Amino acid sequence: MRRLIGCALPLVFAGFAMQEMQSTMSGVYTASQATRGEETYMGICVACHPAGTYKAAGFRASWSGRPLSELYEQVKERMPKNDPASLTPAECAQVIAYLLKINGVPAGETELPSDPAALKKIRIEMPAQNDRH
Amino acid sequence: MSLRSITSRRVAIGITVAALTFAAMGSDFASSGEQAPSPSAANPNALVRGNAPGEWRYWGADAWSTRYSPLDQIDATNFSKLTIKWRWNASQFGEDEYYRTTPLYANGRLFTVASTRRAAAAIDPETGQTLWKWQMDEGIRWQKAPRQFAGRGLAYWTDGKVERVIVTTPGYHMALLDAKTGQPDPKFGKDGIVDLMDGLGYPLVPLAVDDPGPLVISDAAPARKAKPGETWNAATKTGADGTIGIDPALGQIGISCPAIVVNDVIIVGNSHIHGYYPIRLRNLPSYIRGFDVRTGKQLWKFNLVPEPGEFGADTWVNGTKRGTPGVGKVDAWAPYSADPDLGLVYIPVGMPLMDEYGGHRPGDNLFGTSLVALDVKTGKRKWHFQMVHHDIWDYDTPMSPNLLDVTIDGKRRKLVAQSTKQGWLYVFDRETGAPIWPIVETPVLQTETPGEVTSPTQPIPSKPAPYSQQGLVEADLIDYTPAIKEAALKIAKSCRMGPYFIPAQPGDGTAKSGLTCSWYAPGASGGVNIDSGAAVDPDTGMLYVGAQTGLSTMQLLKDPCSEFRYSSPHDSCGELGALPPPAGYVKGRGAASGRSVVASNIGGVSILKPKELGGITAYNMSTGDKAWWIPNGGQLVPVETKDPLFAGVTLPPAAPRGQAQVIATKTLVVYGTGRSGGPPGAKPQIYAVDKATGKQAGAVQIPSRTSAVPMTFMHNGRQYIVFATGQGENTSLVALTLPR
Repeated sequence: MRRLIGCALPLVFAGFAMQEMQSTMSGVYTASQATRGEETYMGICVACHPAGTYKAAGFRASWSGRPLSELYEQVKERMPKNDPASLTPAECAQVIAYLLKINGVPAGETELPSDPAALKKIRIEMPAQNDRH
Repeated sequence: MSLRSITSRRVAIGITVAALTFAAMGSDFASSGEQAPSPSAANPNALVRGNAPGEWRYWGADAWSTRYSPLDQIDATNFSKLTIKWRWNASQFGEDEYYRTTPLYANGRLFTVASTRRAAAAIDPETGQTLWKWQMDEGIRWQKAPRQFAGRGLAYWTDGKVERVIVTTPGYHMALLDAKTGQPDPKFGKDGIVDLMDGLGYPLVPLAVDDPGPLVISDAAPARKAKPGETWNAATKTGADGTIGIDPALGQIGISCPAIVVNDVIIVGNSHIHGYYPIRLRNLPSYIRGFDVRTGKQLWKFNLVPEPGEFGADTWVNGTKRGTPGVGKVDAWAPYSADPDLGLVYIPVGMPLMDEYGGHRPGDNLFGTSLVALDVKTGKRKWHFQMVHHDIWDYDTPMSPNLLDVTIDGKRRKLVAQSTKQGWLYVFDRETGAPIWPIVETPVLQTETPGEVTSPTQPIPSKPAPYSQQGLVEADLIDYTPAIKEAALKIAKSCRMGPYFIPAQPGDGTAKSGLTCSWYAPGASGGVNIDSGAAVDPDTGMLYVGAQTGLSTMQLLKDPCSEFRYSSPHDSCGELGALPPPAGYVKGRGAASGRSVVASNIGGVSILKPKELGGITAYNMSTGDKAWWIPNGGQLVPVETKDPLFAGVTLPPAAPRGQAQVIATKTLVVYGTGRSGGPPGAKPQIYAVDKATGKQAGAVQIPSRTSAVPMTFMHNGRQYIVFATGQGENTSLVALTLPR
């Protein structure tokens, strides 16, 4: 296990049309966007989702390899529990940027869009979990 | 290393940190250390409701939790001139979740907690400099703590000679610190610390972990009992680190709120795991205990889940023997209030294990979701009132109740008013527990979920009127045009409707009605929740409650890797501590991940007619009538939509989201919008309104939104308003004063 520390090994899933998809590891959000996302997350989401929830194995296993648009739709349509579909598109993208950040996904120069069509072309990849400890 | 010496080591670390900080603070500390107790501290008779006037010695200002200060230097004429005097960086002690602390002010010092480690600190109120810091190394007890954040704050006590600060830690220890130095009082417990896991009747065992992370999603990834001879592996951060505690196989326990000190007795409870998505059917029950403030000796213990034979045990049909499926939690995790003259402490109690499904715990489940009055000397129950029978709505009682004396029908009455997630105030005679206005047992909707048995009735307050949306009935729906009404009704009818207490529907097609969801209002976050609650004015008998309102849906499904028959939709499979997946299970597929959620809006327009709910509601507690209402942040927000259904319709504005965080002073109601509140796009501000009318009297821009209830005090002739703000690695206290 120790061997893996320091090696950012993306979880790659077979069967994807790699040439058409961008990876979340290629700098798809900005640091300031993630900071705004942290404010939104701690302002709203944390009421039901403690900070550690989205670093946990279950979250990573559920979402790795899937298009970012699915996570966006999940947040946009179903959250928050108290008032579903009440977050603005920008807030949803910020929250996802924050989730990527806390899972060790590097920030880049371009903000994550809030357009589902654009997000469909980004595949969720996260560094191997041991990197975070 | 023996367990005894490990425990000592941990205490020693705490002392060392305090001592080092003491040395580092040099002259600042020395001058502070020489300070004599103020006249009010020297003469406890001068205290009002346990507080020295102009100070803020309890989480809720005073023992009554009024959140009221008689100060009036800051008033309507000058509120908008407030400026930032200092900003104290709480992140210097480490990161946090969101910073949910309200500091205390007593005898010239400000006291606070900070970071996930819940470090305690004293601050010079004039300069914002740290006077001392104390922190405890709790090892695995901290790592797997169910509430790993700074928490709500501290408790303070003085006999007029010595001054003490009481810290309850994430790992469930309690320390008594010298308010001048931050050093643990060696006469208290063991070297100044009481191990709160001790004294509950469970053996303490060596603890170990198999992963380096925190407790995740309720009870996933817990600690475990160490194997004989097991040691710590520093490389993997796993194994046994010498920490002892209650066997995690029995459950998890911790604390997030301060204790309260009443008549020299420290009253302390516990917090617990989150009630959503638990994996194990059994967990530890909860307790309230009294400790001698001078020695730390445990004086009494009150069982919030009555043990077999005790009063209330028969409200658990399957019994309450430890380890019984469905038994656990019922934690009183909010701050408490007290009447020192009556010798009573008022405990707002949370709900039993599992938020939305109670099929494993048939019965009313006392003392779940109740207000309980205990004698502080003996711990005996004086009275109780269960506000939700057999709670399956996550309606934990989230806030310290407010005490006040008012004249009703010509008679002076001693009240206790409990603000709740349910959107109602429950108001009682605080000596007897008799409702001030009738609270009527009313037939309610019954469950359609297999295995669930709902209470046939719930107690519904006749007065005061609710401050949050109650359920969903046809009259609540927008009806600007016949087409809009029809569209709203179609959405409304897609989930189970009702006036209140609508049980969650199973989403697996087993419900007789065929409905797979229920309307949920107030939702799991209230109403009032952790961040908001009420302030009262002892002079006028007014009560001001900050709350949120909204409308959402609930649904129950089977989590394939949990022991519970149903839960709010969730898939625990793959989490450390979860059950192995059933045959044929595929991650990301199946019922738990395929739920349907019904949005309560059409093109961004809520199906609810706008009402004066949420925001801040003022009640005249002599009559129980509403006096005024304002939206959080003082202004309504325009509603815009591109949906053609609304073409040509002028939509009324809506109230902004969030929970207003309210305090009262001699002349003002002061509030922050809360961490997610206020008009969208508005700069973060703290507001003042006229107490009689709710009209805005002033507003000041602040660096970021308030994340906890503010407080105020007078120091060296200047009134300060201090509040917590921020999250993660950006948490701070901000002090406002008038410029000189």
